Amino acid sequence: MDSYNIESSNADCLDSRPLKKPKCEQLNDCDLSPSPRSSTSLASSCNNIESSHVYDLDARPLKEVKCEQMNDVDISLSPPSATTLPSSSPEKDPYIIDSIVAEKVSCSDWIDLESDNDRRILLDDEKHQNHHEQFKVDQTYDYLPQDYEMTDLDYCALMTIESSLESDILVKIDDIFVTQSQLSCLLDPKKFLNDDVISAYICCIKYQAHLESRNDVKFYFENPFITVILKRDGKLGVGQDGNHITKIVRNYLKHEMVLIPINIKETHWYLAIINTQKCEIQVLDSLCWDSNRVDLADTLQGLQFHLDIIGRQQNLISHNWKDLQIISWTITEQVQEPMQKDGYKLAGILLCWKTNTAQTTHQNMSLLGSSNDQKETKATDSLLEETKYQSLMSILSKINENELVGGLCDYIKSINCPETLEKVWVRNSKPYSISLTVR
Amino acid sequence: MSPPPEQDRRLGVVKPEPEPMIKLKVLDNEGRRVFHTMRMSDKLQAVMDAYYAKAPDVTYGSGTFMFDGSIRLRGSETPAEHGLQDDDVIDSYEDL
Repeated sequence: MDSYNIESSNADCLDSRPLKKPKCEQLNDCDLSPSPRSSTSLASSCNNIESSHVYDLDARPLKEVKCEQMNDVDISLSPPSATTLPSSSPEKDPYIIDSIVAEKVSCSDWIDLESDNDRRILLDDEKHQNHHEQFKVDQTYDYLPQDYEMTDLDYCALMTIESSLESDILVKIDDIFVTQSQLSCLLDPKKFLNDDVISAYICCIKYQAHLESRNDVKFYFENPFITVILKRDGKLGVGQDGNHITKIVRNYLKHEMVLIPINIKETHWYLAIINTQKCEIQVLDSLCWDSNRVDLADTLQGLQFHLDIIGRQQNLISHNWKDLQIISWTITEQVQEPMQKDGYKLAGILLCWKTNTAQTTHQNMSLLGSSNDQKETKATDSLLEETKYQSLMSILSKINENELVGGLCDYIKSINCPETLEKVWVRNSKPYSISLTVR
Repeated sequence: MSPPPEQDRRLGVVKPEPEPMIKLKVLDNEGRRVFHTMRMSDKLQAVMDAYYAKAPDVTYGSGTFMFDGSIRLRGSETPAEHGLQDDDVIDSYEDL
């Protein structure tokens, strides 16, 4: 079962990073310009969060009682401990590096390179889209990060995943719902990457591409479901039942690049790009398994069946495809060196994506948005205790010592619940026995 | 729960037309075709159950049911909710 899981050290990952550049050059035939790298200045502060994260999980006995517990557990006790705990380095992460996700990340790299992370475009766009206005731009991902650096936003997202119930829907982007149990594959290298997770990420990519709205190259992002059906049709042929799929394939003809995620069952994902101008199938495979392209062949065969049907129909729409004999196109491998990476970053992206409308993240994000306004943190809704805790953690990672002390003072002053004030907030037995209440 | 017929007559209520039945077809990755006839207001779980019954190697409750290549069907929903019509095809495949 685990044989698919080619593990590599982090050094390997780093080695493969420069790959992005060459990849960009290879794909330059679509007139893409590399975008500026996003800065992740918070990377260093993540260590603290990491350690406190572990601490937090150890301290919490049961998920089910988290809300009630968080009411009782004094919020102020744990976060300061984050600064005192020895910070564990991300390299020593207990999770091994997941090979499968790298594929998807490599897709994202590819897309990112073509995109320009100009936030102003996004902001302009937001004005026209009412349902996005409730998000604060700073606290969500409004672009796809190009590196794998974990930010505090990502760690908060991870904590949300860890602390949610399996059936909780944590990501809802467009029509795609992703539950906690499906997302957990990103945190567990032994699990297979879920197709809904892929779909959700493809929604992010689509959204980004839509914002860029390049006129020169028209992209079509297929979802994994259709790929599976195309693969089936490639194996079994197309009966009269395939009309709706033919309709979808017909829509491909309006585009110049069709991006198809392909799954090797219970093994690996890779991306095939149908470059209709070069009559080429370009494969982006993070593991470079160029000998295992059976699924691609089946998918292309299925696609060919549908193209044949379209070709036989009288009402063929005008299109720019050089020809419709896709099965005869050459297949080229775009990635020359394997890349590996875990799925943490993607988990963060999905939960914090700006169009994620799942309820949990709503609350999480709105609380994160109040990070500079301590008064808001004492939101009275007890259900929000969990996210309150997390938001406090993110604050801690951002501010320096003076601000932290000042902020904590403000926060404590802002508490006016008598019960909370009477409670013992800090207790320590070494070197002296100390217990402090807020009062 | 519709009231018994005699009550209908007494109240002078016109009995509504019986809801039309639609035949749905589930098509899976193995090429299996499973037909199921149901009402527009029935839960889609019925057609899913019919499929699982015909496909013993598929774990009950697993897999995805998709209509029109984009609409994910859930057992708690009804054909009416998604505008399913007679002879519509539902694509089914195992979880990836």
